[in-house]
Amino acid sequence: MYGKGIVRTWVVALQAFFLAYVREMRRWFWRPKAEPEMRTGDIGGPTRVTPRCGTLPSFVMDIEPERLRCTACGICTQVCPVQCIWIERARTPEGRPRSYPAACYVDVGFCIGCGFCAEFCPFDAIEMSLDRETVSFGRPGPMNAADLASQIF
Amino acid sequence: MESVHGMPAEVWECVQARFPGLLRRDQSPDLNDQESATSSGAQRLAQALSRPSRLQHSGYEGGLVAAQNLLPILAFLRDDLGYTYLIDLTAADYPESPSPLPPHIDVVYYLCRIQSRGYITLHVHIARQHPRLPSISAEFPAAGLREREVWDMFGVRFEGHPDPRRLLLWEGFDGFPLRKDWHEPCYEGVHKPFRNRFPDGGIPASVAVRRSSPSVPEMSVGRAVDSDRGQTQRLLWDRMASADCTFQHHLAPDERLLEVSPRDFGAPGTLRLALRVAGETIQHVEPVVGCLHRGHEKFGERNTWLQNLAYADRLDPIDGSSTSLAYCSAVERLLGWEVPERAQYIRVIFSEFSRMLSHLWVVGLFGQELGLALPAASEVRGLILDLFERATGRRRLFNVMRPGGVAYDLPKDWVLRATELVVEGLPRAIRSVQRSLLDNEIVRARSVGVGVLSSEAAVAYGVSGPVLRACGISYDVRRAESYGVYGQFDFEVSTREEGDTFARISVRFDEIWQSLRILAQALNQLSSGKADGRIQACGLAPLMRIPSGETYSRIEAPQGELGCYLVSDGGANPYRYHVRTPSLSNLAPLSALARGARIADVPVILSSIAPTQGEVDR
Repeated sequence: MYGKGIVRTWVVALQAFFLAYVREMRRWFWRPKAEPEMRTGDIGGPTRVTPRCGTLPSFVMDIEPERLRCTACGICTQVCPVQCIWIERARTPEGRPRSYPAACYVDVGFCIGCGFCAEFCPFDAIEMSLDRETVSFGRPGPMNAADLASQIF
Repeated sequence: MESVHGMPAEVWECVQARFPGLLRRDQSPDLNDQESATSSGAQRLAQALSRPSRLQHSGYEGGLVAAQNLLPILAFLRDDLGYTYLIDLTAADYPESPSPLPPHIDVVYYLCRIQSRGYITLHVHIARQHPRLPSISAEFPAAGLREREVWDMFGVRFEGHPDPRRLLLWEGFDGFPLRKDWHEPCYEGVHKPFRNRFPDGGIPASVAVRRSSPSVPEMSVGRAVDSDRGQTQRLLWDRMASADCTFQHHLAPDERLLEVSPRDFGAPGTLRLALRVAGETIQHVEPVVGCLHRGHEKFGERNTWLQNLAYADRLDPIDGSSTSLAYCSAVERLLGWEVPERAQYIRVIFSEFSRMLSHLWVVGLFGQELGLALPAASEVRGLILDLFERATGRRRLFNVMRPGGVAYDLPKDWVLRATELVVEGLPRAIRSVQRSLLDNEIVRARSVGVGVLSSEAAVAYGVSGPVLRACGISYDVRRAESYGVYGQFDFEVSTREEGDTFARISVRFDEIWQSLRILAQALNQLSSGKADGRIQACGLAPLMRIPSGETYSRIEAPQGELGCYLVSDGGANPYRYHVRTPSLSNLAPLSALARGARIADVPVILSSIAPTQGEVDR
């Protein structure tokens, strides 16, 4: 019968439309015992964190002794495709290099989140994390680059 | 890796028999521009090329052709030997060639036979100053866009080309970007890793530093912008008025030009279209590409071998892993690495899921262009993306392929979940999408018989993938090359005979079913423990050097055939990095498809071809 396919398309669309409500109602009235599975993209932050789901690299701070785990070897600056990691090696007053950084930064304005730095770090001193808020609900007004940087770092 | 690369022996013999002395492995071609090439340079070139080592690397060899012999040899290959399909046409610049070679530009032609394995490679060396070559776009219409790209990027003039405009950049652009002596604005170094961007210390803010650093020269491109945009537009209008037209450079009285501005036009990304219409009827369509051009190949030469992986997937973000798979297999060919069997299976699983992702995206877009929103298609994509997120942590740009294997093994219960989905969840959901789209009478009325491409035209235009198979040509690189472990799977190359828009969409659904078939077999073999073992035999170190050589690897991406051409000079960076993207080739017959259709059919036709603009513009 001509038009059967059109009707079927409507039925499928209506089904999807009502099923969306049914699912939402279920969530309201029959709250599951376990935490609902949320994806990393959901608003409100990730609740289920899969391995390697981090978006931006961050340097790991050890608790005991309390300092950065980074040894300033510079492998992450070599593998970074956009060259957004900058590590400055610490030096003694006599000028001999030490095995920790004086400064280390990730320029998240460039970072594309490929994860090579965390993958190739021999000391696991960088990990991809989700802890940074890159989006805020407020409207900060006109910003220049320095403001932006001071918020990010 | 049992496939044939380069020039099969029997083709050599045929060409030798037909053209005695024209094409030899040790032939010395002369430079076709005598006024700029000094005689000593030509002699040096002749001496250098009399040694066959230049074009014979392990697993790769190509025939070196003199420029004036190019057309007869190509005509012979096409007419007598059946090499009708031009895969790719690209070039590489050698301003300082290895020892005795004078500076030259190497133009590379790849041809293959439909229904047979392997491909042949022809190299033409021409001088760097005012390089000229005969255009082959009359014999191979597929070369039209590629020759424009080579002109744009290398400055090689193709004489007799019907449309000799620049492809990705605008007229009057300063220089030819892929030449080695051209430097981009904000040039920092020949290759990465660069020197420290922030030598003065302090907190770097990307924008401020990039503007104020003394190491950044003035924007060299900016000079040409304002004055020459008008010239680009004028040339485009000239082209619009003259293409497929009886009156040269005049529109017919009832014709007018219509510009469709850059927008999502049935394709992810920005594509600008120029239409010549007579009333409602399309006379000519000219895709104006380049809105998304971001210098991918130039960046590829700056990056180290490893860093390119992060960029490769970004060509086509809809499917997650095809470009990096082609790149990885090319690097493996250069290094002569073997991939462990488990990694091969994981690669197959990822690329087949990616194929489904891409096809579902295309059919969803197709429905959207017809006014039929298909949320079910994106729901099915969501099921697959959840799987990907479990395995790689990401929902797109998975970054999972590595030369020598894959980056991560699959999580513990992943194979089980994926098998459940492949056997039960996905078929039901996909059947629902397929029936609601393909059985719909409105969809059929809008797409059956619209945008018909004949099989001969499809081969001549060099389209690939579902667009080619919708014309009744059973050509699939998975079968033609059977790279990886594809030879072990039982699947069919799905084809349709009609060649119209409806056939292109139905072929995509057929391929989704074949992908499910492959996935069921691959997952079954993984879970049965047949392919246990390592996932990466050897990996790329951060600054690893790769022995000098040249290679071309092909895979079947969702949109079609995807090739990666790599030249290494023995350094830590690719000397030349070129990706043959299926989307650009699939755009070539757009005007032939849309001629005679109505304006409202253009988005429908375009979304059935579904060029990914990231791939088209690179």
